[in-house]
Amino acid sequence: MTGVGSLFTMELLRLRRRRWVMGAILAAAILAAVVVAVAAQANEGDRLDTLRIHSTTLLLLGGLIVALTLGATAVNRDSDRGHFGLLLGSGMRRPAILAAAVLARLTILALVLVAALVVLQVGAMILGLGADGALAAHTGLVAIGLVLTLCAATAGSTVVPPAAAALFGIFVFAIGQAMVNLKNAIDQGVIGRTAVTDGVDLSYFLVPHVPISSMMVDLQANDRSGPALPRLDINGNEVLLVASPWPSIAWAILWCGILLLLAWLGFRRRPVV
Amino acid sequence: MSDAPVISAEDLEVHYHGGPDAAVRGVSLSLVPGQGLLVGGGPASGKTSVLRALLGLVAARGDLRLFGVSPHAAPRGRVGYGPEGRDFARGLTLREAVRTIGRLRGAGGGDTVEDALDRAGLYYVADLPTSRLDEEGFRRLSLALAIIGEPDLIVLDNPWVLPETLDEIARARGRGAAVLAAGRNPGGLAPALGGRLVLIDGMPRG
Repeated sequence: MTGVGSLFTMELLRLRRRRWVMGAILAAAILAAVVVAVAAQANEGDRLDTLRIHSTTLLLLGGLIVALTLGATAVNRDSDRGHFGLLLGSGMRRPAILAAAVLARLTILALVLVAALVVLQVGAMILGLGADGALAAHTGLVAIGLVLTLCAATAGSTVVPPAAAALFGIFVFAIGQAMVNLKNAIDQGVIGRTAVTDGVDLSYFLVPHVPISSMMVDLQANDRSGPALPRLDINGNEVLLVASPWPSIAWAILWCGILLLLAWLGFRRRPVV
Repeated sequence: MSDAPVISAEDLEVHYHGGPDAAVRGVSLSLVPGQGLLVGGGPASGKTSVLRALLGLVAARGDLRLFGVSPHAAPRGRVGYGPEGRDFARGLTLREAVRTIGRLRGAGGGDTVEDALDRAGLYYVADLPTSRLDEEGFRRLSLALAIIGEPDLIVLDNPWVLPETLDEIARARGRGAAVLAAGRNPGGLAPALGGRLVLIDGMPRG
């Protein structure tokens, strides 16, 4: 087994044994079952939208909690408590150690999302709605936003304690979401063009984007809203969501790489005990 | 047996977080195969900082060499490190910790793992999670992690003077490995290692 492979296996084992991690995977499945139960109570014509709107809440809010918790403790704790010191002292290289820590956390995040999605899909079939491809695609795009958040929190964890790293992670997510909404508002003429909006236009091509799925667009068109799909209006004019084009999705993925590079730069010089 | 130094440092200096005060300064040392050295001194004298600098855990100034190259480029698998503390193998059983470090060092085979655990006196508790260990258990686990795979350099941070520790130091030096240890109480370690460097306020005494 290669060095990174052995490190990854060990880190995954250590994470899996933390009670909150197994709890999160279980909670994802249980809460997904609750979402299905709530959808089952709706009128037949409303079931699909009810299932989808509550799914967006579960996937986003639950996913953010998991991503931030995983990322915010990716480097700081093990650097300060002797685990990374043991690995470095035993001849491992910092890139391999960081890669293993990140990969293990991405795997846990994926397991949480898969647990929720499987229960939601099975629930959809039980409700007679069939397998929901749009929900699966939405989950994939939510995953990109969550990975972006995890990578940002990881970068923060190389230099600051967990709470501050989590704040940085949520800040990056919020900026990514806000920028997409602002750009949509400007493009739809909800905000008049000024020098400030020109700055937003420029910033849009610099900051990360949080992807928006076609399912979110459809839900908004059906006048559905929720914590993950708040009604956004400016001066009484509603801002319509636009499904993220492929370049925007690719840009979000590229930003994940940029944040991991920042994580590497932070970890490279961090004293380890 | 080559006489090229296994580990060497010239004018080692360590500043944590780039601060103006040096935790360690003016330390020079050299170990050839088969040689041992105890870095001693009181609390906060810089003993552990010397070890961490030599292993590349913290940034350091000075000419540092591990097997003739920078610590960051030293060949994987030739250094056995037994850390201080209680959290270095958190979330693992003793056997898992020793097996993983052994694998990373290219020596994770079943017999090798069992042998290291046995020699450190941990054979009967190998499947316990490390969270169940007492302080002595952690010192023994640290020893097992350092010796698995028979590395060419063994580094021990604040080891207890257990019979197993002294046996392993003698065994390692006998087969030509260098042994470097940091400890507050020299006790039986200094004679076993054969050399001693005492630090006071981060500087070598004398």
